[in-house]
Amino acid sequence: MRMESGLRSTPKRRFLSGLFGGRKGDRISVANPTSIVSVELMEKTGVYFPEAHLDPSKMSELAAGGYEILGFDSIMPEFSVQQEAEALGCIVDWGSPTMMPDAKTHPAKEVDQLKIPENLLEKPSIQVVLRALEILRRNHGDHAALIGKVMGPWTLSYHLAGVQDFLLWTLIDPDKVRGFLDRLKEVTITFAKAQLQAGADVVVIADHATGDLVSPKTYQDFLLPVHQELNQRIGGPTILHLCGNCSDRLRLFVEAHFDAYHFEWQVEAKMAVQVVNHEMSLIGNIANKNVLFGGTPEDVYKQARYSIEAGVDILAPECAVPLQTPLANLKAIVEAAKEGYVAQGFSPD
Amino acid sequence: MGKTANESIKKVNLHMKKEEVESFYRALRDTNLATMETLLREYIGKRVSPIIILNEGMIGAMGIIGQEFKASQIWVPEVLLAARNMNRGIEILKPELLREKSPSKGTFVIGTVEGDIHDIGKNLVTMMMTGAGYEVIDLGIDVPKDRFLEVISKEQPDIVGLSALLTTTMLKMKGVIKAIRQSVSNPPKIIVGGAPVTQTFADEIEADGYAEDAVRAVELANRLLSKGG
Repeated sequence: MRMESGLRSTPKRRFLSGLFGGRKGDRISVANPTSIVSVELMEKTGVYFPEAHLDPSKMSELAAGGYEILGFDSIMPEFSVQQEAEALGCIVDWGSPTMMPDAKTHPAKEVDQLKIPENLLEKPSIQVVLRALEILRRNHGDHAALIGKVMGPWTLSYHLAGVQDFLLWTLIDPDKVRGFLDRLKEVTITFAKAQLQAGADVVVIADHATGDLVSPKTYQDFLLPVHQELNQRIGGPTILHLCGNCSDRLRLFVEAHFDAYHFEWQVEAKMAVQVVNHEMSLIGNIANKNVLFGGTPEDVYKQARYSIEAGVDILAPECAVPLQTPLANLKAIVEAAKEGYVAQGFSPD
Repeated sequence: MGKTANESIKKVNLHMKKEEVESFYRALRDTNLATMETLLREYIGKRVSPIIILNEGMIGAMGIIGQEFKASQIWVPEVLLAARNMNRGIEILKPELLREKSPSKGTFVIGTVEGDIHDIGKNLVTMMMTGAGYEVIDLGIDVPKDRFLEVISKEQPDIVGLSALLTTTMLKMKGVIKAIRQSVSNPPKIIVGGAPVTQTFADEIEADGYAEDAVRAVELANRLLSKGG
């Protein structure tokens, strides 16, 4: 292990330093802005889906497994993208150990059909996350980084209106899209503030205007001003999670004033580091499908080393990992990080 | 040489002019449905064969949309809009087409496998395949194996598409493929797709093909059935 500077590396310090692009210390931080729960992790912790989505102590126990068993620096308890959906009136199928939850109904086709409950934070599926964060803060908050997660108004619109309808509206009824975003951003802000108050060090804002679905211009026209407002009003640190190939819009995320962007392998890490120019941290970007899920620990190691040497600020899987991801592959990320910033005998090419 | 020139003249007569295909392209991109309706009424009024309108105009224009999507010049909302306009166009054209039967390129059965309720990718494939001239039977989402078998025995499709968005449900594809081949005497070609699916996985479960996106799915189907365009 090489010491590059004087920073004594603990998981929380490493993570926070990476989040704000600060002192590098002895090695890169490994974190999970999105879920790293796998069936094997459920077996190791004895806590399973779907109970872990619905019970705060189970949620916190399973989430802590990523820190205690895998050696990640962070703990992130919101595994699915559906906690808000149920509170907003969607019927959610909470799934099974091998199936992530999914919203079965999309109850709002007009802005005035959006029902945002006044007691949003008291709704059971919201409470569970806040309580889990409180438990985690008490048990691990001194040492591990605690990551909260909220859905942005674009993702909430998918849940409430359905993806296809909402995407089509961007062309045929842009005012309706703006109306949805304007109402639903209040949910994002309220929940994010509550998570920070419950003990999260940072909140991930997951807003799936993904690179594969919409253009940079769509992001710029509809979401950029909303994201700027979110970051202003939430106050605490934020990470943007927005998947797909977003190589063509990285500067827009900088303009939105996120502290960090959680990105996919499709976005070339060296290019991203250059384009973002330390104005925002980069978290990522080990490929799920072919590497973490379908590859070997050696494949994971190679990609992890590539990302580290490209200058990514925090190492992480590119997105929520598939539930059948082998534990050995997740551990291989941490192993690669432990070798420090320059690994002996490794050439990224 | 002379013969080729004659042939190409004949072809020009059969085909719509480039500007005409472009007017269909503009109608597919227009947020106003009336543009497509007006254009079609104009062509039907001019007594242009509905098969030419469909194949040359609408499918030709949808081909441009597909290429633009593949090249990341347009995105999913534009494809959804084109599909909406295309569907409205086919509705208007249907009575005309029934009078003058258009040869279909083949029958395609598609569905998202059991336990999986994701349908955006599947719907894009449905739209692109319809646009390419296939008769598409879309079984929807969460389709059990037996439902696939029932429809395949009844409709005798040329090709079947299985879709899955989850790493858990994609594992179901193997059983469906096996069951189709075991229980159908003249089994159709079977293609698979969806976010977690890879070529390697498709080979492993012995699918006839894998396509990364909806445009490539059409190309794959054409290739498997040896139909051009």
